[in-house]
Amino acid sequence: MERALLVNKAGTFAGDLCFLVFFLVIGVYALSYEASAATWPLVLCVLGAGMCIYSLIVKGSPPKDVLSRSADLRIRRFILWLIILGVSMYVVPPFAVILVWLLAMLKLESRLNWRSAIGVTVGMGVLVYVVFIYFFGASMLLGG
Amino acid sequence: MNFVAVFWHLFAHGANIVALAAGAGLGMVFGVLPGLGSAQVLALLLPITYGLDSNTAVILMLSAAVGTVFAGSVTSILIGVPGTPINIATIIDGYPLAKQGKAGIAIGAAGASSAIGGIIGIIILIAILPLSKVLIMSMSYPELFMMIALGIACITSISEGSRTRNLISGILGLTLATFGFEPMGSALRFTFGIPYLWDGIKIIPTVIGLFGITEGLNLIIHDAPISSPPKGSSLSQILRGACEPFKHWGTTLRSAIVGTGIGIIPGIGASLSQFVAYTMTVQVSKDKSRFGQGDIRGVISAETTNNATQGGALIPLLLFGIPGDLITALLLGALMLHDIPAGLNIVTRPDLLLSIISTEVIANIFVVCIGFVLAGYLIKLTAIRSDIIGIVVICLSVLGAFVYQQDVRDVILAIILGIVGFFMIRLDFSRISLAIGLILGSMAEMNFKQTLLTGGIGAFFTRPISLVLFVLMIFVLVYGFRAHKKDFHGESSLGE
Repeated sequence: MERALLVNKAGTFAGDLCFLVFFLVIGVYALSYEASAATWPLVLCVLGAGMCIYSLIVKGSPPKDVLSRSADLRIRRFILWLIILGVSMYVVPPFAVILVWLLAMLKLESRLNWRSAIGVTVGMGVLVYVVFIYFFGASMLLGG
Repeated sequence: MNFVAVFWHLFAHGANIVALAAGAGLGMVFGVLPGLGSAQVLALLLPITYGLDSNTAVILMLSAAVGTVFAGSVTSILIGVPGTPINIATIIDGYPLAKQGKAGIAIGAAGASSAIGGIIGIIILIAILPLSKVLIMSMSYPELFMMIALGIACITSISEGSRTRNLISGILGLTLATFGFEPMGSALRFTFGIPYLWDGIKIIPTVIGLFGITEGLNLIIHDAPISSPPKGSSLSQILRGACEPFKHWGTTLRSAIVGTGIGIIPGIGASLSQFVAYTMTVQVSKDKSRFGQGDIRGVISAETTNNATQGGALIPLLLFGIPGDLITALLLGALMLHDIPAGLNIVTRPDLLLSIISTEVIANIFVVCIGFVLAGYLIKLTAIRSDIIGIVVICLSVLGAFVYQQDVRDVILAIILGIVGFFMIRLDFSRISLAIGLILGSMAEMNFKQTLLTGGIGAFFTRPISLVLFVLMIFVLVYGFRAHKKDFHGESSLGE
């Protein structure tokens, strides 16, 4: 799928609006700080909000989804998988989480056969162990 | 002691050759892996250098730094994930070239440009070493601030799509950089009660998220290999690519000069210089339509600049003992471990000065030769189904984010920004502008505040260099907006 398919050329209204809200919230927060701490963020928020409003008025148009439904569903599922990956790293040693997640993704999402999926996972495990744990000393990957 | 004699003396020693090969090899491994870069490899090597001869230590450190930069460009080209933040600009044209089956040409051009950039940077270093004090002394807070503002303006004008939204992304990056402790002050800002944000939004997990995880997600929704089959053998493509910087010698030379010039200014570095040089390349080109869609001049410009910047960054280090970037800061650490005083006193060690200069030259050539041999195998990666590559890229990105400070919260940040980055692409906002805004944000704020404290707002417009940079910035912004208006109804010309 080309990038053109990903980019919502027609409408980025939602994006402009989200960023406008962000700049307004940060700007309001900044007002509660001392002048020395608030000046720079306020300058940025005024600039940012101004640009968002300009973008909304001049070029704003409602969002139009251009991803196919199957791709959209796949991305949503993957975002969920990513969140599961991040949260699991809090409770299980990251090295194990990564390998299990990789194996699961290769098997469930990419539909690789068991032999290939296990091969890629073992290869990755060796690479991670040698480079990150043995060489770089990232022993926290093993937990503890 | 002449240059040739020192050169021979250095590389006739087996230990120095081993240090060159080991440093380059290790640097390339770290450069290919997201999250690991020059800083990590040099930090890893720093204690090892203690037991080495000072020349061998310098060779080991410099060759590792050069190896990281080149390897980072390979991942930028092949999978659109920068190995290090200073390879971000390479994606703009390198990745589209890989998608067209021309990864070999892009890697060849990147490698040759890296070597040429590094060598020209060193030649300029030798030529202007006596004069550089004047340049460094003429840059104060207003000039540094305007330099950063100009850099961000350049980035917004080269990224794809709406210049307004690119500018919003850049301002968003600068705003995110204000989170955490205030520079030159003690106020905690925008932490929302989350202790993790005390240190601000960290750059490495952000870059990993915005580029590694986002690109991983993009690859996953493809169901085909990244590129069409390479046109011609990998080696012939690489060799053809290696000739490109010579064909476009004007671009190469200009980018090297820009890179070295910006490298001299302490604290700016290749994160900015790559975009300034790229923008100049686009602006002076007669045919701008190919930039962002796989123009080899874009790759040449980005890769020549980031290596030349390293040469430039050595000038304040060698002259004043001021490290221009993180790489030179760690190099300074290695020199200090060996009781070698950096700064003007380094003239008392001409052997070391020549060792640094000749190592930069040799390491650049050596890394490129090794890189060309390995690239033939790496290009085959682009023929693998993209969703598999995407899953592996996400795993490596998550690992890179974790290993950075061995903190799971960095992984969460990378994942959040990976998802944000994915939607930014869909909503036509520039990830590059956001990343560069974040990287340069605290420096911009510090120089902004220092200017207000020392000379008031007028200092930006009363100092000649600052005023020139301001006018240049306005020109780049106005030119960018006018160019955008022209192609508003059509396809925009530049890619992310």
